Amino acid sequence: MVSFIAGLLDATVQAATVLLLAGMGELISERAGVLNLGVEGMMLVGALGGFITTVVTGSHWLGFGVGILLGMVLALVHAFLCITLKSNQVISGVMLTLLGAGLTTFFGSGWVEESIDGFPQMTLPLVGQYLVDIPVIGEAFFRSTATDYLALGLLVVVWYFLHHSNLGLEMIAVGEDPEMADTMGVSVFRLRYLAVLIGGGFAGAAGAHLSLAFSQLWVPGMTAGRGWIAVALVIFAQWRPRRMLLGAYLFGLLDALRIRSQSISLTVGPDTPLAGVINPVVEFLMTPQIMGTYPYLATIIVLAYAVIRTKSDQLAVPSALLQSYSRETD
Amino acid sequence: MSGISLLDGEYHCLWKQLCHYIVDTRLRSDSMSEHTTLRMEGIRKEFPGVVANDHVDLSVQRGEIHGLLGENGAGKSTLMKILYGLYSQDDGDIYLDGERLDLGSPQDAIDAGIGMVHQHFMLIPRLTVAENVVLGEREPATAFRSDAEDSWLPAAVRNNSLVQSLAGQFSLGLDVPEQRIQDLADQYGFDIDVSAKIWELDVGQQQRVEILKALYRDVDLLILDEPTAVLTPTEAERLFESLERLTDEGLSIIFITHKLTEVDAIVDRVTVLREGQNVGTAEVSSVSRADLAEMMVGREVLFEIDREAVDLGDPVLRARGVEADDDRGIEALSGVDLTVRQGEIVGIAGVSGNGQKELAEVIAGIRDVTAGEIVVNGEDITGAKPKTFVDSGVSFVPEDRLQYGCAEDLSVMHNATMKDFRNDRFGDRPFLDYGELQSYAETLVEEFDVRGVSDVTETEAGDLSGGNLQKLILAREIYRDPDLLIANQPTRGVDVGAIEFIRETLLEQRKAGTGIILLSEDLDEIFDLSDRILVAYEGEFVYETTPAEADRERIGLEMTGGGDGEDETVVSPPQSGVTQGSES
Amino acid sequence: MNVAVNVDAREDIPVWLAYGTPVFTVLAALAVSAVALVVLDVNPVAAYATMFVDTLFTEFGLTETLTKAVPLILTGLAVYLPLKAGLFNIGAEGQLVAGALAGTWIGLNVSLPGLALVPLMFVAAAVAGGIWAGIPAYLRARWDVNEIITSLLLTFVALEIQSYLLRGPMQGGTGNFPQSERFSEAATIPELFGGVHAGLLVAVCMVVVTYVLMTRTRLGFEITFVGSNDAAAQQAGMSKFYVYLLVFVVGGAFAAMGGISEIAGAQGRYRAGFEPGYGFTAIPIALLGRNSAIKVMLAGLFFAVLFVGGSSMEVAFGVPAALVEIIQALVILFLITAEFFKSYRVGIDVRRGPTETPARPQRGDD
Repeated sequence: MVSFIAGLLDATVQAATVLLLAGMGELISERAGVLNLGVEGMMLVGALGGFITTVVTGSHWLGFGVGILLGMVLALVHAFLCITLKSNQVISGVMLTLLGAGLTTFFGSGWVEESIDGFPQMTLPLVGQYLVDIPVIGEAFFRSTATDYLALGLLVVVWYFLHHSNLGLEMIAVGEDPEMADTMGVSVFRLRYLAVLIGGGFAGAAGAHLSLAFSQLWVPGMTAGRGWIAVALVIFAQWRPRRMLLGAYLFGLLDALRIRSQSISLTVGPDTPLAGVINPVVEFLMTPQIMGTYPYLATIIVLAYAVIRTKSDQLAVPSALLQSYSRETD
Repeated sequence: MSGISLLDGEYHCLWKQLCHYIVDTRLRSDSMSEHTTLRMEGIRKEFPGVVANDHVDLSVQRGEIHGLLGENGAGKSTLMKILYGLYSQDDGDIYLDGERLDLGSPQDAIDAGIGMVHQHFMLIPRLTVAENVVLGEREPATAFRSDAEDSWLPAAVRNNSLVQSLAGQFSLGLDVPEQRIQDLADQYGFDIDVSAKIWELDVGQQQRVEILKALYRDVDLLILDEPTAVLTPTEAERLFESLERLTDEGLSIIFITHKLTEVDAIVDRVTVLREGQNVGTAEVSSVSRADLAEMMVGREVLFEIDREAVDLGDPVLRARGVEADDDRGIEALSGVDLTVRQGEIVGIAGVSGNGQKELAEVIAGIRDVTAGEIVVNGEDITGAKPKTFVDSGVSFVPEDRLQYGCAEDLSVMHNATMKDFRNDRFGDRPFLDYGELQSYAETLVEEFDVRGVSDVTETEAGDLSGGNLQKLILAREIYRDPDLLIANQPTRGVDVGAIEFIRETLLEQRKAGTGIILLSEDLDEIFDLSDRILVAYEGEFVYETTPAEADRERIGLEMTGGGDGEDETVVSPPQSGVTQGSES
Repeated sequence: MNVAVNVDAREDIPVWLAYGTPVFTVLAALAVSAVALVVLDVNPVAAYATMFVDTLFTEFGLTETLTKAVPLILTGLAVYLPLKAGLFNIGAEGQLVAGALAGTWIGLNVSLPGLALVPLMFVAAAVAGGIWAGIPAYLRARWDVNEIITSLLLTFVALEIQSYLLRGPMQGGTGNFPQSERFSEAATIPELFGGVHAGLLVAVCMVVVTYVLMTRTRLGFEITFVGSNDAAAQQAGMSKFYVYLLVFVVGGAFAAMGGISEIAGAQGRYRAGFEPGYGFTAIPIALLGRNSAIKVMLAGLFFAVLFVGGSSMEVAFGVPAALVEIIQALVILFLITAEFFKSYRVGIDVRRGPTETPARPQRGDD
């Protein structure tokens, strides 16, 4: 039982990191007003690029860096299409996911057999060695890869950046009312480009983490929809960094539970009243695939609830999301 | 020729000349005053088809509240947008304290010390007061401020430009700014919590945040664009108090308005614009409301359309006690009664923003009423869907053609038939005979002289000029032989030739027995076409008359709130059978 | 020296641009993908030749193409119809799966002669797809909840449900594979001609229905109008709510029928992992055919050629079929870029010396 929970927590933390990295990037991009549905594709190019680099150079940090870079390259295309050419953000994003998936499957088929020495498990610097022995949670939280710790650190940075820096304030303004920001002398173009590039970089990082730390191999399509979950996560978290941490862990927990669900049984004894009804229902709700729907359903419910119940000027959605901006005055 | 007796006409002319003389002298002396802070000379701005500002001069003295009075379309907004750097003038110069300004953007204006409070606030509801005010200024964290006294960073480091730039971007220090904003607020009597979110504030407070945005940037000249449009009378009072305090401290203010009551209350000197020109400037204390109203609105009647007598029929519309809110949720109609009969044109005069848009939308069925009833042809259709209104014989020519008058990207044919495509003549349900639609559209285009249409199925509505599009919309609404027609500013933005055509068409439809509600800012139009005239002000009808009995000055006064404030006893609508005559 | 890029809004779209766009984008996409081929040491010309010739000029190629075209055309319509009303149906894949599942269930569990069973399967599929699409539609029509996100997320839910059903209640056949029973003779869609199943008939019929709907009925007029300016449409008495629901539900039904025709016509049994991606391919198909259901059909055929050709290229040259995905993505990329050029004219000025102060621009307002 104890080892089960420990294992569960460990898996939760690992799953959460990927979502956290990809989600943070998407959060920034969307707060500046640009929806990026290409996260899945950017994660894939980050994963493959990072993997290849590590195989070739032997350095997983270099691979991580390349992964980030490649994510940004794809994001640059998205930014150019959506911001400069004012194209439809949805189409551009889906296109980049298709492109990323196609490119990585195409070029990556030859790298499947390779193996690497990815990021090693290590205790959290300084304090970790003392805390890792705490029963149950110690291993899960204090022995992970460097990128896991990095993700958490970056979350703090992102939170600070968004809410306690001028660039962050301007990005939020640009995502709410670009016209107003423009009148105040804020450069809408530059900020949106920056936000989208950051988003791509984070997505690439998430992919690189996937191939270099999480699973340390490469398989075409290895993101398995995590990019889409990251997009859902941002909505679920109502565009707030701290809630994203919660959501990432929640979704990560669901993922970990899902994998392990076959080995648990929450059924009640046959003598309990209504056992005939309860047991099949619980069994149904615990099947791995049904559990796989929970993040998506939860997001839809949260979104619908938020939109229906909130007054329009208090909606958490960045008001100018999906809207291209051009200065109409002369 | 003129509808007014010749004696009146002469008096009219003489008085105007006298006004101009007095005003011109004053103007000349003003520009030589050493107290002048702003001088706009010979400003000209033209848009396709219209001259918005025609050699306008404006001069503002330091520490005064200078009113800019005029109807919609008079050019006030354009002039101020030029001053604020949103537009650039085609000709003319701007001098602030003797220095010539080159304003390419709002940032330039702010740098020069000119601030503007827009009618539609530019605030982000999600952020706090302080965040909205400070946006764009890149205030760094307190430790990095160049004026910080007890910062742990040595001044040399702080003042390094790279450090300043990085600190400005990657940090945000609200402590000092919040204090400063709070001080400003207190200084001018604004009751604001600087850490409150904008959506938590009421409209009056939000407006004060807009003012704070300008004050924070040390402006010397503040432009306020129709600030009381969104305020209750109490809030307006408080605003005026604040403005007085601002000018006491040396700030100069330009106050755009169309309400004479406000001019009386707070303005020191006023400039009146009309049709792009500066009609005159005067000290408020030395001019009467009547004079101002006349300058704003009065026009010699140069021509008149023949309006025949028409028998009035049964009421097509009975609206009682109608109340409605505008898009912001503020009450726009506060208890309107309106009856329109067959063959009658009821003209509603008034400056835009007094509830006309909402009234038109309510009677057309696309806006809900919060109270009252609407009865069309004897049937109560209050609260019904738009389709019911359409089927009940109500036609609507909206103020904003592109918003819901037409679909720009669709063809003329689509737009011509958008209300009647369900008609039996266009095929058996569920099918639609596009051939019939096409010929219907072609008929409309021909009979209503819509130009610029090469092929009704190809030419898009958005390709038509304003006048032609309006003719198309009017055609569509009239050809279906409605019982009630609502025309909101039907000749706005329309070329002269089309204007005549549209007016004649309205009169013809009147003869055919349609009841017409005409909302217009153009008093000539109201006079020429209406059987009865109602004046709308702040959501109510404040005055009713007929063209025969009407006194243009009185109407002008009522339109701008200059009346006694008492509701005129509503002249009871003529009984069925009594004709409405006109003079020739 | 100064380089200035001038961007001016166009007044009219030149004819060559309007009609040439689909052709240019496709050519451009093929050209860029050729680079990928070169990297893999494959002669692009030979590869493309195989792709198109094999597909269009062999009997096998043709039947495969027509078979593949069925779900592509139907999902293309599923995106096209809501698009006409101004809505984005990104969830066609999910609706396709919902239909496939419902139709399969009927096919495996109801015994009726084939003549009755197959239509019933289609009806069941259409209902399932309609419901699946109805959820995001209702949320949008009633409360303005963004349909892009809801329809997209529901796709993934549908895929998970598919996985569950095929490992559980709907699992069948020999062994424990995640797949259904093989379809009986009665449940299989009959052959139309030469190896192409009758699903093609359904697809073509739906194209005709859509075409007639949009060009010859009152409803089509309403849909077009709501898609162009819903405020004006409401003013004129049209119902945005009803239109929104209708286009999505019908679209969902189309995608669903595409799903069941693939399973009951081409596959013969439902295998888990049926994630053909048609729902996403449907997006460029709908965009290419944006003005007419007939063009959607043609676009669907074109993409079918791409898919089939990609497989034959894989066989002949060892090129991963993922190239097709790349080409698809590039087609979309060039399409959106072309949209920009249709609306704006771009000129580049190269000037010597300091730039002149540009004349004050004149733009209208109000």
